[in-house]
Amino acid sequence: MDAPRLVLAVLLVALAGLAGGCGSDGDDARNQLDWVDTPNVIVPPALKSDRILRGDVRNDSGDPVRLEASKVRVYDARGRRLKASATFAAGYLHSLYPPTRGPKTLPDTELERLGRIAKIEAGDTGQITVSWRERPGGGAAARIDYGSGSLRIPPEPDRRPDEDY
Amino acid sequence: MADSRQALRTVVVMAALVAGLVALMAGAFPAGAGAHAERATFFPDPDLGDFPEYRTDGAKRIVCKEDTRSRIKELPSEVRRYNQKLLAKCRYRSIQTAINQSGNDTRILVLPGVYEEHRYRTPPPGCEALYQNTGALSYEQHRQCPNAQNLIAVLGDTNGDRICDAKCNIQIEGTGESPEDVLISGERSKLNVIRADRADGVYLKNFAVEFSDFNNIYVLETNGFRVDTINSRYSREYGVLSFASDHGIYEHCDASYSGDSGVYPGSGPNARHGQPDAHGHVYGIIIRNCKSHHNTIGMSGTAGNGTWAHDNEFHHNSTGVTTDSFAGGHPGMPQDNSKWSRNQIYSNNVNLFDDERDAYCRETPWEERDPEKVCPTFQVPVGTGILIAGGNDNVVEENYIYDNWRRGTMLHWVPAALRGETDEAKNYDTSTNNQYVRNCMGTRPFDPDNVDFSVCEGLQDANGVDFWWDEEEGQDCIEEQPGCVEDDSERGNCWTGNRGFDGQPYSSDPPDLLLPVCPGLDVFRPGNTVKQATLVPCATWHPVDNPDPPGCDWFTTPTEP
Repeated sequence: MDAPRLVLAVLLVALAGLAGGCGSDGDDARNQLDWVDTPNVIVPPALKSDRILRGDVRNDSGDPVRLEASKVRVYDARGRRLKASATFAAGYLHSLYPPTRGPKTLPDTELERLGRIAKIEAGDTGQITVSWRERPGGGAAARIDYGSGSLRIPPEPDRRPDEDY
Repeated sequence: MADSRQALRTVVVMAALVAGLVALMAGAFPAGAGAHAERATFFPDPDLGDFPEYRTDGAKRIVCKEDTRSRIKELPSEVRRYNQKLLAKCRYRSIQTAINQSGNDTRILVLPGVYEEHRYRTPPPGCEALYQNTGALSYEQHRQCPNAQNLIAVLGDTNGDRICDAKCNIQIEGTGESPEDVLISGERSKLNVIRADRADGVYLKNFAVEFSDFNNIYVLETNGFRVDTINSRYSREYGVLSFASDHGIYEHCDASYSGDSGVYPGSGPNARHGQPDAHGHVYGIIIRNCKSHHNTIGMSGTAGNGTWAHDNEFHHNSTGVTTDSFAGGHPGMPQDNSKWSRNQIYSNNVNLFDDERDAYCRETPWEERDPEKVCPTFQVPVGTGILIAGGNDNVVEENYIYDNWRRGTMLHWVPAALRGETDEAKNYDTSTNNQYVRNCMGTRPFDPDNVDFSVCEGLQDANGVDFWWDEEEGQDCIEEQPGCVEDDSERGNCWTGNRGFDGQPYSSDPPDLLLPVCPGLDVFRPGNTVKQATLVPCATWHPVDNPDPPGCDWFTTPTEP
């Protein structure tokens, strides 16, 4: 590798580290949440490129945290955003109103029931389910960004985070 | 042999539940609701009221249109003569006007024609604001402006006690040879085409109804109703919907092309819990001899309690039948004590969630849509026969369930919190004591119009998997008491006497050995957390923002087995 390419590679790695955190999110000072236990990651039998993560998080920040599912993002180790969805509901459910009808705003109690928001008091725990779709030939998901911090996604046991690169 | 098989099942199930409990204790997944919006509602007294009977005498009002005479000429001779006699006495051009001038026990005879009720589409003085309001109005607001949201309204309670005292036992009947001779069209302009609200004894018969923005036929807080020989189609949401009502019959109906469900007996009578009322009726809502097809769901009912669906066909929907406890605001939660028997539930593989339909529904306003291109209002697992999502004490018995490419049946737990239940002790109060008995799986009857449900005979037409269960056995909590006060120690979810094609074993997930035989195994177990987890991402579906949520495989048409 020539010198300019080497410099570019170093810069790219550094940039990815800044954007994606390279899975070292537990050290991020702004993080408010941490896993209670290692979360489970499931590969749906009919969707081999999709993943479902469920886990409990604890609010160690000393302050209440308000999470919005619509603001949860998933990134791979290179900091690239993956198509993802999140919910704080404990199971499948749907709203009283069809998604494109009904009131424009719902009260927090209903948003909590629907799993669209979660309020976690200091020291309390809450459940999160995040699912994502991996890019063809891309890398494994590495980090969940919930707006005010991020959570590391544990690597799959039989796969290195960068093995598809 | 049967005893040893039972013993083996018991051992295997016990082992599984121990493993499940261990998983729960290990905190692998620590435990952390077709629905519709309406005013706060209350169930009628089940010991009052009864199923209405068809009447051929008594006071009547006759409704006709300008072209009725020419339409009558096309009818067969006997029906033609009957209608010609009625036409000579016709005094009304509007069904609503006839209702408005009717007292109790009146028959509204509707002659052949198309009824659009234009005079009630513009607000009378004082109703302008309510005509613009699409939210849940109070009963009093409906009384004030009956046609604000309803093309035709039968409102029976004048003193606010929720019991009909005026316009009770109203019978609205098409007089043609078939339902198609009388058409009532909402023209996509009203939430409801016909609303029967606290209208005890209402009887609707022999007409077609279409193009509501919400419900073609809507029966609410009504003790005694009957929907007989009705074709209901092209509703944005529901073909026929009853809610917080009792002593109701849907029969000989054809319900099709609705964005949610063809028939929806939601918030069914809740008080009986499987016990008979004063008349000896165990089931308060009966659905029989209906065909419901090409809807998102053939039949659904959040809190669909005390309902018996028999001798129906639910076919060519995305999902054939659902009943559930996963939407808030429905009285009578959790769902319990309904029965499906002698139905044909088949070919529910219509994918209304593919990219092409997503784009069409996103880009085409409701008013401009092809009525046979249904746009789903809620998400369901394409390719499923009958789904019990958080239900207790239901019976699925002697049905033919076939050609549903994902699963013939699905049963899974719904945490109580998801329906807005705040009593944490009730979190596992679904799903329990559901019985799947003597169903014929993966077999298309030789003659679908003449099926002997006591046998399992026909051509092979497999389901993806015949029985799918999340392996959760809920607690038997008494619904009316706080906490979880168990009232049963013998029954659990169970499968007995079900048959596969030509005497072959049926398929299941978990394997057959893990399906308890009836009366089941009444030991709490939290279920298979991996199976439960695969359902959760489907909750994030949104037709515009997230039509294909990662992790959710419901919207991919399963391969034909």
